[in-house]
Amino acid sequence: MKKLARFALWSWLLTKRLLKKPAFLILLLCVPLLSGAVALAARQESGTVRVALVCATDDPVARRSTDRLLHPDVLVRCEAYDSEAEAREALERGTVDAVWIFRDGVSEELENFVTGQRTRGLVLVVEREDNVFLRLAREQLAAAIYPEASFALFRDHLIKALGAPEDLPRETLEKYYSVDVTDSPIIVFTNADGSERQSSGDLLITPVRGLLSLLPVLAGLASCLYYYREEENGVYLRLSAGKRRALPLLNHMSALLPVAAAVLAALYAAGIATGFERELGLLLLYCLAVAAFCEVLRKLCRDESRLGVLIPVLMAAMLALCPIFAQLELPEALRRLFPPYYYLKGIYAGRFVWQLALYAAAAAALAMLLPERETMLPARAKREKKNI
Amino acid sequence: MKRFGTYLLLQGKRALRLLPRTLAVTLLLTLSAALILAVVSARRASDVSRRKTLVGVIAMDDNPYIMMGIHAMETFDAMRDEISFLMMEEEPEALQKLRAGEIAAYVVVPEGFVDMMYTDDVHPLRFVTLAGVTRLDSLLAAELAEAVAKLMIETQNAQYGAIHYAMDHVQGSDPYEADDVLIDRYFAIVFDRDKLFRLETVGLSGELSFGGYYLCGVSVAFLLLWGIGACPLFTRRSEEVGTLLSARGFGAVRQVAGEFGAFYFLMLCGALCAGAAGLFLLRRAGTAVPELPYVPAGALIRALAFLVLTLGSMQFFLYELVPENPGGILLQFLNAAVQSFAAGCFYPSSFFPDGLRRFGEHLPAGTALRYLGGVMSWSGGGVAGMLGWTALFLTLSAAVRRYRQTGRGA
Repeated sequence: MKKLARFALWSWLLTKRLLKKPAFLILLLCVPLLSGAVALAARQESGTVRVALVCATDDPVARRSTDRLLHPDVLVRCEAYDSEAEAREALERGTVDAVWIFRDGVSEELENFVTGQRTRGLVLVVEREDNVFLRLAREQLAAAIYPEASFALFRDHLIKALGAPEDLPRETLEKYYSVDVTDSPIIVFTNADGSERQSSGDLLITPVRGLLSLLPVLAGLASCLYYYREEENGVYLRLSAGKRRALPLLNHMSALLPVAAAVLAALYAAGIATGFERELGLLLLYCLAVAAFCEVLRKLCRDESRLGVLIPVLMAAMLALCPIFAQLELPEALRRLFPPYYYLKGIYAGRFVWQLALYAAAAAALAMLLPERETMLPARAKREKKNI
Repeated sequence: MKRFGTYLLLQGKRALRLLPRTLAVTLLLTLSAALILAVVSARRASDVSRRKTLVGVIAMDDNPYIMMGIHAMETFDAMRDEISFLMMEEEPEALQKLRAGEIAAYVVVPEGFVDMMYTDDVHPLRFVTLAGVTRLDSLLAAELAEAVAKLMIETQNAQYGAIHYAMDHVQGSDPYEADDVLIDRYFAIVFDRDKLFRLETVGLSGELSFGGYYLCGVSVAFLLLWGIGACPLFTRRSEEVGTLLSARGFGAVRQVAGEFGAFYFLMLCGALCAGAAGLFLLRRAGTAVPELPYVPAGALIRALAFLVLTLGSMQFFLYELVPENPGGILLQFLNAAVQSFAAGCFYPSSFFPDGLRRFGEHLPAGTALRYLGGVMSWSGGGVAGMLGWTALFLTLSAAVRRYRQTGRGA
């Protein structure tokens, strides 16, 4: 009991010295504010591909198709332009990614298309380059014209296969073709737990959890740098060797826990938290794993500047290897070196939580086994001599 | 001037102590990147399907239009290289694969999906992803699924209409007789839909390609992160020496100028090494950046020098603001993450809402991204904005230094 009380006292003292730094506190407060701001911004209207839409004809097929295209869409955002020249200029300026031009004779070209005759196309699509987003946008264009093509084919079929008169009025055709299809959405986006979600904007929020998961790692590494300094200053010299073995881990945890609290608040601010108990439990386990990971690095680097220059490399590696933005096809063994991998996967799959616990235990054992560098009182004197 | 020269030299010596390690880490980073590139290339060469994103499809209906839609989805030209659809039997199996990260998403086509569209009891397609995880490729797959769903509904519309017309007007014939012909014709127009438009590619002029944009984005994000590595240079600084120098007439402005000069030298050396190595790797890997072969090395070096100047001055200012650990490093990372995100280094800024895009464009990282983009696309790349930010950050750094020193002295 006495040992536990002493442990709690040490933890509190180590955490308190960080919480006394106003800059650190302000930064922690900024974390949920920033993620909340990203979530707020992501909810506004946006699109992946911007298209200049020109309807340079009164053709009814063209008019109906452009009307379908001008509604807001998650990925393709169309804007009406008055003339082809204006739209082409916007393309050259880079204001839009593509230009879609409906010219005269759209109905005739549609007729040619459905009857299998040679056609020059209903729409002229102008692009600066070919990429996956523009190819997808063309599929959206095809989907917008498809109802017209389908109706024209239906008419042609009635005339050719069922002997309908060629001058059959459109109203009669529509009576048979246009069954009242409900206005309800034909696709809904749900989460794996069954809850519904908004499709637009989610894309921008997706990396928020991944980026937040790097913050504890960074705090742990910063704590290592801080510990090097304190060690050199002889802060812990009065402690026995046995007590000093576990002290670095406790020291890192004291830096990690406030950051983890900020991360938890940020997850709620961004609206991506999956449940308080689950998030809290996983974050605590993650903090243990990160503390052990950082301690291993501290002992391997053995020097402040060595670890310092390694931090951007570690960050870049974690950005590339952990599931934050894109999943590169890289060997699993490389990904498994970093704790954020288990944390980010563990949110959705229980087996990664167990793997995270194993990782934490293995890293902590390794950290304990690695030899401690010598305490650097002479180094302090040397540094002071060098200092200008 | 002599005192400033001495101070600059001393700061340079401090930075030089960090330089070998910075260069060693650059080498390590380059080797790792080369290794990763080699592994990725080897994997892609050995198994083409591995690079695709897998999206599960669970069809609870054997309606021929559903099957046509799924087939159409699989053969969509737009995504053939990026997304592959995987037919699955049961939803629990798909859920398990989704949670294990084996598939990016799955689509459930419910029973009676097309038929129910004509009633109020709609059973929409369900596109399932993990909460808080929307990958771009799965979003694209969702768009395709929606487009195909509309296509299936229109097609069945026509089929029902033709049957009803035959019932009403064609006496004594089987209304379903001509059905197969109609379905065949619909299949034909679905697969020939690229003939609906004529494509004209005008080529790139004054604007970046997609690959070029991403190269610029990654470069700026990397430079933003690179500043974290210099933290020992700042956290080990003695403030007492600065105050003493200030008292002896060597003011905050000259101190900041001397220290920034040394920091800039360190950052530039690291960035040039990383840039040269990155360029070499990109050329070796057969880069998908069409602009790269046409940009002279001199222009890239000059661009890197300006980028490091602006982003370095910002990092210097942040270290001046919070010169201690762990706050200093956290601030650098938060700044790097927020600026990279808002400026469009991770996702093209055209994805963002207008307000966020305009905000991102005016940030230092946004200015840097536009400048680098301009250099890459030969459309200018004015340095005025970059120099403006640099001047502002250095002035603010000097002001913070002076405030701290006079505050302490008082």
